[in-house]
Amino acid sequence: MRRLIAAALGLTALTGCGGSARSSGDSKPGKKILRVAYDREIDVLNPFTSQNLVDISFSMIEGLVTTDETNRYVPVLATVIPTRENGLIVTKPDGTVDITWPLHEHVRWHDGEPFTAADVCFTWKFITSPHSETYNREQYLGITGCRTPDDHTVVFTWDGEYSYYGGLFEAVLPEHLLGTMTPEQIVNYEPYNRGSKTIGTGPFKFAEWKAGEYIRVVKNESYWRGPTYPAIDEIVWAFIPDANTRLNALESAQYDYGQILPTQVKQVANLAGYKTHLVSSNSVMHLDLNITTEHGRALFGDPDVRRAIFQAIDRKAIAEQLMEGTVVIADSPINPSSQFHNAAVRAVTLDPAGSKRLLDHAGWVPGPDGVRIKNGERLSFILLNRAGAADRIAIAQVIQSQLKAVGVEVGFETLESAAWTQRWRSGRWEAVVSLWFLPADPSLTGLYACDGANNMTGFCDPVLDTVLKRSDHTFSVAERKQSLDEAQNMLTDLARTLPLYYNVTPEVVSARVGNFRGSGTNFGSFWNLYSWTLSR
Amino acid sequence: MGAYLRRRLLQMVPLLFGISIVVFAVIQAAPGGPEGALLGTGRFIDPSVTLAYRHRLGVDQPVVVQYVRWLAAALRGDLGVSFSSTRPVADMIMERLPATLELMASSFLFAAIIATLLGTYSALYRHSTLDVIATGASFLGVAMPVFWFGLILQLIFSVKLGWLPVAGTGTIGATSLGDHLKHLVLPGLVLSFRNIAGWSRYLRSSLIDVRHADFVRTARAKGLRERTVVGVHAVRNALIPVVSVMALNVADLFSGAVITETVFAWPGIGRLFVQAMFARDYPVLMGILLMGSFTVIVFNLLADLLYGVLDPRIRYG
Amino acid sequence: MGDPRSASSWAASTRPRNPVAAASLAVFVVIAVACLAAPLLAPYPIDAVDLSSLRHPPSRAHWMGTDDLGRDVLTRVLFGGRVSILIGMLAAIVGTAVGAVVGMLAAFYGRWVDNLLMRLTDVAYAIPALPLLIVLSAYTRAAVPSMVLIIGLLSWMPTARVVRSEVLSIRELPYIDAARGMGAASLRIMLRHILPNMLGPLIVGATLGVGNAIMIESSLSFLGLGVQPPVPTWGNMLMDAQATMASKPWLTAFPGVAILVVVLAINFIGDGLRDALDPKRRAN
Repeated sequence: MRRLIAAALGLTALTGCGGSARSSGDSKPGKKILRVAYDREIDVLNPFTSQNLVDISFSMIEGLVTTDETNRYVPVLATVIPTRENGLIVTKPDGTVDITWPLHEHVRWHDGEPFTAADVCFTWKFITSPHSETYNREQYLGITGCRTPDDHTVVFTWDGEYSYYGGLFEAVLPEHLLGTMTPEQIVNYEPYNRGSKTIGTGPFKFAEWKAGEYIRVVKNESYWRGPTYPAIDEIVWAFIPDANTRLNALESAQYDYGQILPTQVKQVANLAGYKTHLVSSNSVMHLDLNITTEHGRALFGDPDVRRAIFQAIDRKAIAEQLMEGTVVIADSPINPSSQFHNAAVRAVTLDPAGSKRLLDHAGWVPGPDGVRIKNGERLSFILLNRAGAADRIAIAQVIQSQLKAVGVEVGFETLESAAWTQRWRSGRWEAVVSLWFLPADPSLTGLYACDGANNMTGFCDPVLDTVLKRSDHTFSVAERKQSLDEAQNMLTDLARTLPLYYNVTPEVVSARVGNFRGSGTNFGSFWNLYSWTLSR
Repeated sequence: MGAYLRRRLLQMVPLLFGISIVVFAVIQAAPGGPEGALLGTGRFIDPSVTLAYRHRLGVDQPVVVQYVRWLAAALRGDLGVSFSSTRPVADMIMERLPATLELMASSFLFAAIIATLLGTYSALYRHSTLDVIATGASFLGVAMPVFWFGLILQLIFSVKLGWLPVAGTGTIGATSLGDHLKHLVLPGLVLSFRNIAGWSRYLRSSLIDVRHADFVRTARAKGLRERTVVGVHAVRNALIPVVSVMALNVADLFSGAVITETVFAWPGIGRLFVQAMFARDYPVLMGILLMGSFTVIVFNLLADLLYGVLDPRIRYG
Repeated sequence: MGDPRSASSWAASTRPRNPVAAASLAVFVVIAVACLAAPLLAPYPIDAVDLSSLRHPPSRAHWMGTDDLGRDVLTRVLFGGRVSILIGMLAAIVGTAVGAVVGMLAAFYGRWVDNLLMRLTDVAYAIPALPLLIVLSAYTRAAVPSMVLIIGLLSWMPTARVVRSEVLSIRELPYIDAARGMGAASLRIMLRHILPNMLGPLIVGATLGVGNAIMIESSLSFLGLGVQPPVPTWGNMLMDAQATMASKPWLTAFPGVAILVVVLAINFIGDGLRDALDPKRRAN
C-alpha cells in the first residue's frame, strides 16, 4: 500500500529499499504475545554500549547476575554469587583476591553453540579495553586476570577487595561470534547491534526490529532453565515516545504493559483489566549546590547557608501534593529497598523559622527587596533547568517560591537537553535539580568523593572520602553497611546535597500478566521475564 | 522547456552545497555533544568512556576537518554512520522514508478531496449556513496546535469510542491492509487539516473568478446543465492555480510530520529527526536536513512546472 | 509549520467590508488588551505557588481552576497571552522587516547583490522550517527574545521574494524615474517612494505571521523546546497540562482555546486587510 501511494506521487525510486531487519519467526494468531508500550526506541542491542537502559536486550542476553525487586543481586548464568562464607572468595598472601564463579552447565547460545567460562573471560577483555565504551568500565579495572579451570568455572583475580564485585557482568558476549574482532570493531558491528546476530543465552531470541516501530523477540525453545520457560511466545516492544499517547494506548487496551507519568496514576486507578504498580526506582531526585564557581563558593561555601536552604524546602509537599503521593520522600541517596539504606539516617527537617535564624546568624541580613545580603553579595543564585523536564521544572518552581519566603532569591536558566547535560557535567552551574540513577550496588564514591568521576559540585571532605573508600573495599556486608550508614549520615551533616524523593515508575500491567515483580534497578522490571505468564 | 529544466537542475547543485555548509555549521556549533546521550541518563559514567566515544565518532577533530570528511564521503553517496545506532544513515532514512511519504501522501489526498468538495460547495452556495460552518470548521485546523488536536482525536475516537487505534502503523499480530489503513486515519487527518482550509478557500475564490470566464459562459450557453458546467468546466480550470499551491505545500507537510509522527508513534523521518537532535547524532541530522531540503527544492520545481503544464499560456525561457 | 506562503493561499477572502474580519479585530483587541493589562486584571500574582490547592477545577475563587503548582489558571492565561502575543508580534515584525530589507536591497542594487541575497533566500527557504527551528532552539536559553529571533529569522524568505518582485515592478514606474532623474539618493527613493507602495502586502504578511509564530511556539513547546516555565505561554501551558488532559481538562482547554481564538481572529483580520488593501481583489 505504501508503495502504491508513493508511486502515485512518482516517488517509487525513493521507497525501493524500505523494510526491516528480519531474521526469523513470524506472528501467528493464537500465540501468547506480550505487548509492551515502550517509552523510547533503543539505539543498539549491545548491552555494554547501549546508552539507554537496556531491558530489551536483557530479554535476550543474560549475564552472571541480575537484580530482583529487593535490590539484591541474584545469580543467572552463575549458579551462586561468591562470598567469603561460601568459600568462593579467597584472599591470597600477596593481598590479591581470587573470586570463583561457578556457571550453569548445558547453557547454549541462541545459535546452538555452548556457553562456557571462556565467554566470560572474553567479555572481561572487551569491557576493560579502552575502546569498549562500557559506562562502568572503571569498576572492572581492579580485575587483573581471568582463568577458566574448566568450562563451567571462571576465576577472576582482583588486586584487592572491591565490594561491588558481585554486581558486574550484567551481560556476557559470545566469544565464538565476536572473538576475532577488536573491541572497536565489536562496538561498530552492526549485525550484533541491530539484531540479525544478536545472540544471547536468554529466554527470548531476536526476531525483528522494525525501525521506529517495534522490536519483536520470540521464545527460545531450548532455553536452559527447561521446557516450562519461558511461558510467553513472543514479546513486542512498541516504541511510543509520547507519555500521553502511551496512556491513551493503554486505556484503549492495546498493550499489556506500559510506563506512565506519576501525575497520570489517578487516571488509570480504575482502568479495568489493569493494575498500576508504583515501582520505586533506584533514582533519587535531589537538589545539588555547587561551589566550583566564585559566586557559588561565596554563597554555599558556608555549610550553614546550605542547611538553611535545605531546611526551607518542604519536601513533604513536593512528594504528597506535587507528585500526588506517588513518590517517597528521600533522606539518603540509597533507596529504602536496598539493604544498605540507613533506615535511621539523620534527616533534614522542614523549619523555615530555623532557616531564617541560621541565615541571620551567618550574617545574611534581609536587604531592601527582601533578598538577604552579606558584604554586598545578594543571596541569589541561578538554578539550571533542563528544557522539557516537566517534573524537575515544577520542583524548581516550588523551591523558588519556598526560598523566597526566607529571603533567598532563585533565578532560572533553562537549556535544551543535550546542552544542559554538557553544562551540568562541566560543573559551570550554581544549583541544579537532577536525578542520579544508582545501580543495585550502592557505591556512593563516584558521586561524593573529592575525586569522584561524577562529583561536579566541587565539594570535598576528607573524612567522608575515607568512609566512602572503606565502604568500597570490603567483602564484609556488615562492615560495608556500617560505612555506608555513616556516609549517609555525613551527607546530611555536611549539607552536601538535599535528596528530595525516590523516583517511581508507575507501571501499568495487564491483569493477564503473571509473575510481575517489578524492579527499580537498571535491569528494570523485566529481570524475571523468563517466568512471566500471560493468560488469555 | 528542456533547457529550462536543465538550468533549474544545474542550479540545484550549488544550492545543495550552500545548504550543506549552513546546516553542518549550525548543527555542529550547537551546544551539547553526542556524548550527552551517554551522560544524560543519570548513570555514573567513567570519564574515559566519554573520551573513547568522542574519539570513535571523530567529533574530537576540528569542525572543518569533519566537514571535509563528511563532504568527501557524501559526494561518493555515503552519508556516514549514525552515532547512536552505528548504522549507515542512508539505510536509516530509507527505512523510515516510506512511512513519512505514506503519511504525507494520505494527508495530501484527504486534504485535496475535502478541500475540493468544500471549495466547490462554498463557491456555489456562497454565504449559505453550511458554507459558513464548513469554512469555519476547516479554519480550526489552521488555528489548533497539532499535538493538542491529535490528542483530542485520540481521546474521542480511540479511548472513548474505540473506533480507531491510538498509535503505530498496525495492530500487533495483524497484517491486513484494512488494519493498517485504520491506523492511518487519525495521523493522516490531523496532518491534512493544515491544508484543507487553505486549499478550499483558494479553490473557492479561483472558482468564483472562473465562473464568469468566457468558456464557462459558452458551456452554459450550449445548454449544459449547471452541474456539468461547474463540475466539468469550471472546477477543472479553477484547479489550475490550486494545484501549484498544493505542490508548494507538500514540502511543508514534511515539517508538520515531525509533530504528528511523535503524537501517533508513526515510524517516520520526523521522529527520527527529533531523536537524533536530542542525541546530537550529527550524521543523521545532516542526512535528514539535506534530504528534506532536496524534497523542498524538487517540489518547488515541480510546482513551477505543473503551473506551466496546466496553464498553456505560460512559457519557460 | 505553515508559513505565510501557505497562509496566503487560503486567505484569499473575496468579500469586501468583511464583517467577520471586523468582529475578529474586536475579539483580538479585547483579548490583547486584557493580556497586556494582565498585571492589573489578574486576580492572583503570577508566581503564587500554593501547594495546598493543586489542580482544582474551576470554581468561584479560580474561574479557570488551578494548575499543577496551585497557581490560578486565569492569571496564567492572561500573562501567558501577553508572552504569546508578544512573541507573535515581534517575530512577525522581525521576519517582515528582515524580508523587506533583503527584498529591497536585492531588487534595488541588482546584479551580484541581488544574486547573493536571492541565493541566500533559496538556501533558507529550502531547509525544512521546523527541523531547523528544532536545531536552532538548542542554542537558545529558551526565553522570549531568542524565541522571537529564531522564529522571526526563519520566516523572512517569502516576504523577501514578494518585496523584491514588487520593487522590481515599481522601480520602472515613471515617478521613480522622475525621482531618480532629480538626483534623489537610492536610500531616499527606497524609503520615500517605494516602501509606502509596499505597505499593504507587508502589513497583510505580518498579520498572518503573528498567528504563525504563535503556532510555532506551541509546536516547539510540545517538543520541550519552547519558552520555558516559569514564564507562561499558551503553548507551554498546553504542553505542561497535556499529560492529564483527560482527567483535568480545564488545564488544557483554556490555553488551547485561547490559541485557537486568537490565531483564528488573526487570520480573519489578515483576510480582511488583504481585501481592504488590495484593489484587485475588491473587484470580486
